[in-house]
Amino acid sequence: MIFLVVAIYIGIGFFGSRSLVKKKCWREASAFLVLLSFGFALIILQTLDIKIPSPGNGVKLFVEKVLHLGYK
Amino acid sequence: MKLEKGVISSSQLISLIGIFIQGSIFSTVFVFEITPKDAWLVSLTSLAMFVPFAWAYVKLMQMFPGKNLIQINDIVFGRYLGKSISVLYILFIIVLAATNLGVICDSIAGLFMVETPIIALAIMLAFACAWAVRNGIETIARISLIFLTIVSISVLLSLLLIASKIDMNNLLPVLDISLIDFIQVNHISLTAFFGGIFVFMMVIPYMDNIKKGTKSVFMGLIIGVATMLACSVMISGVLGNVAIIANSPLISATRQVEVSKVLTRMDFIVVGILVLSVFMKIALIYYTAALSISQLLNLQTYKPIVIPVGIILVGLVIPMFDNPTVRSEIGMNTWPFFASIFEFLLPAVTLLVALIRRLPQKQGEKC
Amino acid sequence: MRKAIVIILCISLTLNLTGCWSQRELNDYAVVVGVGIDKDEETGNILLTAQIAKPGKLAKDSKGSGSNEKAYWNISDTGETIFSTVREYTHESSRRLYWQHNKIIIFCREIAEDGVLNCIDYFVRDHETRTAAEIFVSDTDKASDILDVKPELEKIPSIDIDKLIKVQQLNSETYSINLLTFIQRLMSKTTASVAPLIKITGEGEEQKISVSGTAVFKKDKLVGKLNKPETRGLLWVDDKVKSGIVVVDCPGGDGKVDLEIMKASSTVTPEIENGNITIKIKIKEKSNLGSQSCTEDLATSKMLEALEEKLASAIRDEITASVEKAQALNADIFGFGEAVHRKYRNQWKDLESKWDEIFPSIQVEIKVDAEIYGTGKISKPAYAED
Repeated sequence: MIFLVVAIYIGIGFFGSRSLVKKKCWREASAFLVLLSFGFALIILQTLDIKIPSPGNGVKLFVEKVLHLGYK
Repeated sequence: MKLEKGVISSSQLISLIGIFIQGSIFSTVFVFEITPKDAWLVSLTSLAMFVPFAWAYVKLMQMFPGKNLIQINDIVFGRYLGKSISVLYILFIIVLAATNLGVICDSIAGLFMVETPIIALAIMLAFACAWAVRNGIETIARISLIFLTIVSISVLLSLLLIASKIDMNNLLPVLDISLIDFIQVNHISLTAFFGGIFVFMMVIPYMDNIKKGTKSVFMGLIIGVATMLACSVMISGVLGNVAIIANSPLISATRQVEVSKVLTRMDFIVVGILVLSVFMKIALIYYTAALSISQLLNLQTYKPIVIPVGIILVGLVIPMFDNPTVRSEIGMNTWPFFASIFEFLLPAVTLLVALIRRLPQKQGEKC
Repeated sequence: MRKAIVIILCISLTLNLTGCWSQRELNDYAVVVGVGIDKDEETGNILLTAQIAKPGKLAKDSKGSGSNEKAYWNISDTGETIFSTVREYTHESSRRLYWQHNKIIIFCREIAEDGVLNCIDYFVRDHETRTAAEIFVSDTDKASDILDVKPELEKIPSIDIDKLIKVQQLNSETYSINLLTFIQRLMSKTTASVAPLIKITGEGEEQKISVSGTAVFKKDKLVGKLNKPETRGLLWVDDKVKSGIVVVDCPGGDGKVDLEIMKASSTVTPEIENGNITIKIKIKEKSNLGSQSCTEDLATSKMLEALEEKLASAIRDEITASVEKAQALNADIFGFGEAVHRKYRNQWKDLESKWDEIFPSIQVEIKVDAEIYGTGKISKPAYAED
């Protein structure tokens, strides 16, 4: 399963940046690769069953502890 | 450097906003969990409350013609503060898109395809959205008109078909809830259904005639709210007090349709069509995210960003909330406050600061 | 090269559109058309009987003496809770149970008296079950026996029972209720649920299913019954009378007159005066002269008026009987509480918690506006008067 994900990552990484590198758009290519890695980091962590701290709970903590607001 | 070469007309803006609001019909479960009878009234009152903010969004656009939200942040707040605010906006937009994706995937996969892991559905939907986004706002605008018509007609049709099962007594007594509940429900409606419109601050600059912006936004809102009203009346009328416990009131209500024993269980069709509206909503939020990131990083085109953002969205769908119950709780109790910061507070502050600083200055815009 | 990849991508995407992941083949499904819930005497557990339709046998037309094969299969199993019992079936059934065509749910009396709440949650919560299923309570027989009675006009008992309940509106003496309405009433703090009673009549080969009368619940427990006139009283108030026959005495003669109800509507208005609650029920009704067994000429305006009065008082009696029974059982089957809530929402906050004490002493004012319109094909009866 992990193999599949990594293979897809490398595939998309190549195809996506190919056209960009050819046109020498370094900014775009690097932005693409950085965001792509971030996205795949998320997916790989989930494939490996490592629990990611949930942003939803983060929102809840932020609103309740920092802002002290909330309906219940 | 113009990131988006497309141009949208004012009538396209109407349908964009209309379908965006229709995309929130699935999220009405948050309102129904608190008040099964007054959902229709809440859509009207929160629309009324939203009007000043909608006006504020368009005014901001008109003050800086051709500039989208990220650019305006830079101008109004200066380079460093503006960019930090933009980063916060972008994070919020991504979280918003992931939440919406999660809601629709849970509803459909949870009800129809129980064994399918949600992420499979999320990947399909995100892929379709990515395709639409890559083709630019003009394409999205053109599709929106078709989808708007389809969704509106099918909602009306299902309302007609189920009319015999609607018990108007289920809508009475009106406003039988405490003031706090009423405020909470309006707050939820504002942030979940209407607040999302703030993403249009990345879209409106690409109108051909920005003076028609206010009128188009309001017409779109009215069309969207009319559909939402019809759905609310249908759900309240059919389910009555059961709407409080239903996890997906729309699906439960349309399941009751039974016309001459042939047209039973229309929920598949109704839900399928409403997926179109949710698709558009996610596509629009997704587009905004991609465009904002590219604008922030000063890229020449947003196209390469689309796929990575899509992957981030899919990656966030599951970790976002532990389970639908947690999502409901947060959606009703804490999310309204969090979202209000980005959907209402920040744009209002931006407008205020811009007005105080008498922007845009005639001679040059960077300070 | 690019085109090839795109085409392959498109094809692989369309393959996914069919939703292969959660695919379900019809052959792997046992379609449940009816379900009965009994109490197992020995263990006190739930005995769940599911009636599974056998489509193959349905299609076969019986030739001559006909094959004695049943077009259905009743499978029973016991368990502590409904869902665990449903999964128990997989020990014996080669196919997974498919609930989306379930038409009826029958509770036996013991289960109803214990409280249906612990049985009903599965049917509401699960994705496959339908809230349009009709609910029944079996008074004297076991649900599993009822599901086994061979129907004369249909092939499968559940379908027979389902059609039976739908035909009841022709007599308006049975209150049909589906799962959604049942739980709507269950969720109301004051309104009581009802369900039609079903039983087996006759013996041996002559067994038939009969649906008549209504079971009255308080919260989720069975507390009493309504007979036929009382049930019709409930239907009058609930605006659910569509058709039926009211039998009244011939004015001034001996014999009976059958009046066929054509249309009926009711309005229920609560009034609170000096702390006393009165419910004003107004019934508007239109019937035709269906048949008469006396020799008088009833097709005169004077006679029709007299008949209308008798009709009105008959309807009033039915409603009164129904209200008195409900008050005796202290179960608000009419939804009077909710009606008061809709009109007097401020006072309702106090009244709601005391409804159990208030309900038995509510005054009911019944006004009936009955109209007899047509007299059928003939006016005077076919009789030579002396």
